Amino acid sequence: MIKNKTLYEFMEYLPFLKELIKRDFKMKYYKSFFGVLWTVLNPLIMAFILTIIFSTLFKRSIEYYPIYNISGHLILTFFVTATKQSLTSVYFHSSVFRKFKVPQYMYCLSNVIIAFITLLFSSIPMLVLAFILNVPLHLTMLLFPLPILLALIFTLGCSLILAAYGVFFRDLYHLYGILTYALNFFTPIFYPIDIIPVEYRFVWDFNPLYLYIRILRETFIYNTVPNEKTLIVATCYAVLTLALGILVFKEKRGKFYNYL
Amino acid sequence: MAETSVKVDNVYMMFNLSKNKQTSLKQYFIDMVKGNLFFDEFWALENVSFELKKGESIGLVGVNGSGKSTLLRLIAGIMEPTHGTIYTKGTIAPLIALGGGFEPTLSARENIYLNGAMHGHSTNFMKKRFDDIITFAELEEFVDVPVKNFSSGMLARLGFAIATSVHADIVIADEVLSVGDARFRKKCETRISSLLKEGTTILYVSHNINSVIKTCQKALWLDKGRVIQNGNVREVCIAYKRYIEEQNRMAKEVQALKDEKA
Ligand SMILES: Nc1ncnc2c1ncn2[C@@H]1O[C@H](COP(=O)(O)OP(=O)(O)O)[C@@H](O)[C@H]1O
Ligand SMILES: [Mg+2]
Repeated sequence: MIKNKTLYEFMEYLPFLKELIKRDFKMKYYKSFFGVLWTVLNPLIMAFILTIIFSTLFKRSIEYYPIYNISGHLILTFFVTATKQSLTSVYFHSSVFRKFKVPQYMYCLSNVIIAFITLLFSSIPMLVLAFILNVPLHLTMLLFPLPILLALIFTLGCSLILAAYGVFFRDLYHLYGILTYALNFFTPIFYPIDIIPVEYRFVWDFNPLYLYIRILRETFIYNTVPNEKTLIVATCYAVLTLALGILVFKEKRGKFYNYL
Repeated sequence: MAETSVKVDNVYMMFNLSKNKQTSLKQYFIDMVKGNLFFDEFWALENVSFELKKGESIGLVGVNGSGKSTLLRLIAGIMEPTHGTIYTKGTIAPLIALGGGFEPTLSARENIYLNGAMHGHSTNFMKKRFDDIITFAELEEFVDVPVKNFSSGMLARLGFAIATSVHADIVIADEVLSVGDARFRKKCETRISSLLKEGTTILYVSHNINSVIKTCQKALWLDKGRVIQNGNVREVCIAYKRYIEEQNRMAKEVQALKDEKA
C-alpha cells in the first residue's frame, strides 16, 4: 500500500521530471554550442595533459594510457557532478516546495540524469580515441555499459542521501567539496594501483568508484571479463546504496518542512 | 446533500523553531556539546476543524501570522499536520502567493509547461489549455519573453491563469489577487464564480475583506492558530472587521497616552 502510494506519486510527477530534464538539457546543450563542445573536449584535454605528464612515468605499467585515464575521469566526473548538484538540489528549490506538492527528489533525479547524459556524450571521444590508438576490438568490449550502469545506480543512492542531509546542514556543501577533492587522489585515475603500498591498498579497495572504473577498464581495454566475486561486490555496493538512499530520503523528507 | 470535498479534523501544526536556526553542521555540533538540542515548539495551528461540500467556497480571514497559509499548505498536501487528519477529494490546484515556481530565464511558454508539471499535468494536457491561459493572462505579446522581464502583476496573472485553467476539483488561492490592477481582479473574481458554478471547491485568502464577502459563502476566522469563528461569510467578516477596528482604536489610544506622557 505504501509502496503503491510512492509509486503513484512518482508516476503523477513524471511529466515534471521530463520538463526538468528538458529544461536542463536545453540550458546545457541547446542554447549553448560551447556546452556541447566542452562536454566532448573536456575529457580529451584532461587525458591529453595527463598523458604528457605521466606517460613516461607509467608507460611500462599501463597499456593504452590515454584510455586508462579517460575512462577513470569519465566515471569520477559523473559521480562528483551529480552528487554535488544533488546535495543542494532540495533547499535551492525551497520556493517550489513551499508552494507545490512536487516530490523533492525529482530535482535530484534530474541532476543525476543530466550528468549521466553528459557521461554518455563524453564517452564518444573515448570510443574515437580507442579507435585511433588501435585498441584491439573484442567481444568483451560490449560489456562496458555494465560498470557505467552500476555507477549510475550507486550515484543515485549517494545523491539521495546527500540531498536529504543537505537540507539540514547547509555547510555540508563545503565539507563535501573537500571530500570530492580528496577522491580525485584516492581513485586511481592517472596512476596505476600498483604504486600504492600493499598494506594501504585496502583503503582503495573500499572505494566503489574504483571498482566500477576497474571493471570498465578491464572490459573495454584489457579484454578481461571480471570475476564473479568482483561483479557480486560491485552490484551489492550499487543496489545497497540505492536502497539506503531511498530509505534515508523517505525517512527525512517528513522533516523538511521545518527547514525549507 | 452534496458530497464532502474537504474535511479538516482536529488539526494541530507544530514548527520546531530551534531547527530554523540550526541549519549547519557546525551549529549542530556546538549545540550538541552545549546540550542545547531541545525543542522550541511553536504551534501554528491548534484544534482546527471544518468541512466543505463540493462546490462550496470558504474565505480564511485573520491577521498576519494567524496560520492561514499554513492551513492551506496542509490542505494542499505540501506538509503533513502534526496531529489530526485532513481529507480531500479530487485534484487540488494550489496557488500560494505570487510568482510561485516560475523559472526566471525561461519564457512564458516554457514556464506554462513547467508550472503545469508542478501541478502534476503532462505537456499534452497543458497544450490543450495553452491558448486559454495566454488569453486569460493577456500575455499574447509576451509568449516567448523570459519571465524575469515580467512585472509582478504579469506573473500573478500567469499563475492565476494556469491554476484556474486546469479544472481541478479544489482551487486554493492565497493572496494571489493582492497584486494586479482592479480590472484584472474583477476578471479573476468572475472566473472564480464561474468555477464555483462548475462545482469547484474554493479556499480563498485575501486582505481585502470585501473581496472575501463577494467571493465566498463561508468564512473561517483564525487568530494565533485557533478558530475564532466559523460560519456564514457575512457574519464572520463583520465580526472580524469589528475586531480589527477595535484593535486599531485601542492602538491609537495607547499611542495617544504615550504621546501625552512624552
Ligand atoms: N516553516 C516554518 N517554520 C517555522 N515557522 C513557520 C513556518 N511556516 C510558518 N511559520 C509560522 O507560522 C505562523 C503562521 O504563518 P502563516 O500560516 O504564514 O500565517 P498567515 O498566512 O495567516 O499570515 C507564523 O507565525 C509563521 O512564522
Ligand atoms: Mg499568508
